[in-house]
Amino acid sequence: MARNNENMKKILIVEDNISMRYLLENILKKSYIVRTADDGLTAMMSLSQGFSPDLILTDINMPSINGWELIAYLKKSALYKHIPIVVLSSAFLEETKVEVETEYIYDCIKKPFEPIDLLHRVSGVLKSSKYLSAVPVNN
Amino acid sequence: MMSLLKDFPSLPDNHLKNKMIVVTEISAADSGKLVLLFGAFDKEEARLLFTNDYQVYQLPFASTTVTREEIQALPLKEVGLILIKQDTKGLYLKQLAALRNLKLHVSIPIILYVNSDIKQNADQFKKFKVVDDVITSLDDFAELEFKVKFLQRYKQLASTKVTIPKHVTQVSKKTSYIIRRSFDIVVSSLLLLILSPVLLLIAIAVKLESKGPIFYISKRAGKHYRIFKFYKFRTMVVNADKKLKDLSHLNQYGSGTENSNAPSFLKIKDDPRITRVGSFLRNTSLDELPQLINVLLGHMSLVGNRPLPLYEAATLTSDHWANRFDAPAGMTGLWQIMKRGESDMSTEERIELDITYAKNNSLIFDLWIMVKTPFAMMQKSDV
Repeated sequence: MARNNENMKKILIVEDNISMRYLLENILKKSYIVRTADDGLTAMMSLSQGFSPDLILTDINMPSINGWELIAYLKKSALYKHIPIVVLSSAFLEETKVEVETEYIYDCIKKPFEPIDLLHRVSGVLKSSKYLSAVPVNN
Repeated sequence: MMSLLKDFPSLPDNHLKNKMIVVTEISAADSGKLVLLFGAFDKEEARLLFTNDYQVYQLPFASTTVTREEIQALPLKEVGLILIKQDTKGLYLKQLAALRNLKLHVSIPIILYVNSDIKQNADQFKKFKVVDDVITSLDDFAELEFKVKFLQRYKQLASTKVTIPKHVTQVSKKTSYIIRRSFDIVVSSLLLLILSPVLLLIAIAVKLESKGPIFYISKRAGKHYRIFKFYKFRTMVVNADKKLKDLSHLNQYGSGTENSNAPSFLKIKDDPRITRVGSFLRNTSLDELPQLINVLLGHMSLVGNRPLPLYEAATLTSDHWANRFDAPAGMTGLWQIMKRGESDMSTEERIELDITYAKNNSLIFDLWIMVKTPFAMMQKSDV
């Protein structure tokens, strides 16, 4: 893993549960530059203050602005729609919602999760999104 | 000051060129909210806004730059959106930065309207921290309205969030933390001091009976899943973990199949790996005393939830169960004083108790648990 700060990828973690937030931060902070937000609102604040992550890892059930609302906006916004989003939630039972939003979500990780599995999947998304953005778009 | 232009589509061509700012109003859901247009919107674009149920107001600005006074003179309380047409010099953006500083109006979304392909310029636009979003066309009104609604709500929430006096809750949290931490430090160091002869005797006994270290150190997850080195007196022979496999046929819970990945709940009657000193230490719970070091170092608290082995903590990474990790790990806790007597408590029940503790976490509650602990331990030694 690159330890060099400039080469390290940036991740925004959006999670309202304090302990869960610490856990995610501790899993990812060794390999990435991590910023945390405790709901969709603080995630928006962090983004608008100039933090531009390479990936957003978000929970769904949150107060104020929830995960679906955040994803729906980010994927319409010209400034943020290129950022890959990974959803981490136990709320996948709302299957209709998933169908609507699937095209925007790069990966879904279901809680409870295995920490090492989460790390692998996040790094997988980062690798594939880097590859995708390097491919020239036809026409 | 403001004049309603009732017959906008038939405006003379030079009208929009001369007047820099056009104020429009959304007549739909957010009636009374105005839209401010900054920049040289041409007649077609203005007509587009008009045909989408916008009513047009005009403000009397003659100059090509907007002064701070002119901005302050705007009916900002009524404004629901500020739309800026691309300006290469960033003139309006500077004015809008000034507008930001007037705290009353931070909840107005500011959207930049550009003709160019914004993919390449996204980073450049982000530098103008004033701008909330960028659009390239006025054709998709549904999308524009969706964005405006979301941004209005977001900025409203954000502006109220800032005004909440955060320090009030922080102070009380901090003082309660300081009180507990000091309590932990004082009590654990006193106990370590008083018990030092006992600890020394145990250490010698452990060392003499079998080869190996005095302490058994394992990794455990405490508050907020933080991993720390957990100290116990060694009660088993060295490499006990490796010998586990050889003993699997004795496991009372085991299914017998070697490849099974079943949860590793292991209990062996008269476990041959446990030393005689170890057996005594376990029965008297004296093997737990080195955790006072963990308490002194701040890994644990005197009262809290049981620090969990990492494999067990990993299974508890769901929203509900995560709540148990909001409380510190502790030497004694609600579980220890409740479980005595009823030997069979399921894992779920135990974790629910942990969550109950985390939610009712207070100094008084801790003291109550500490008082109860010796009685619970006496009950245990009877069994």
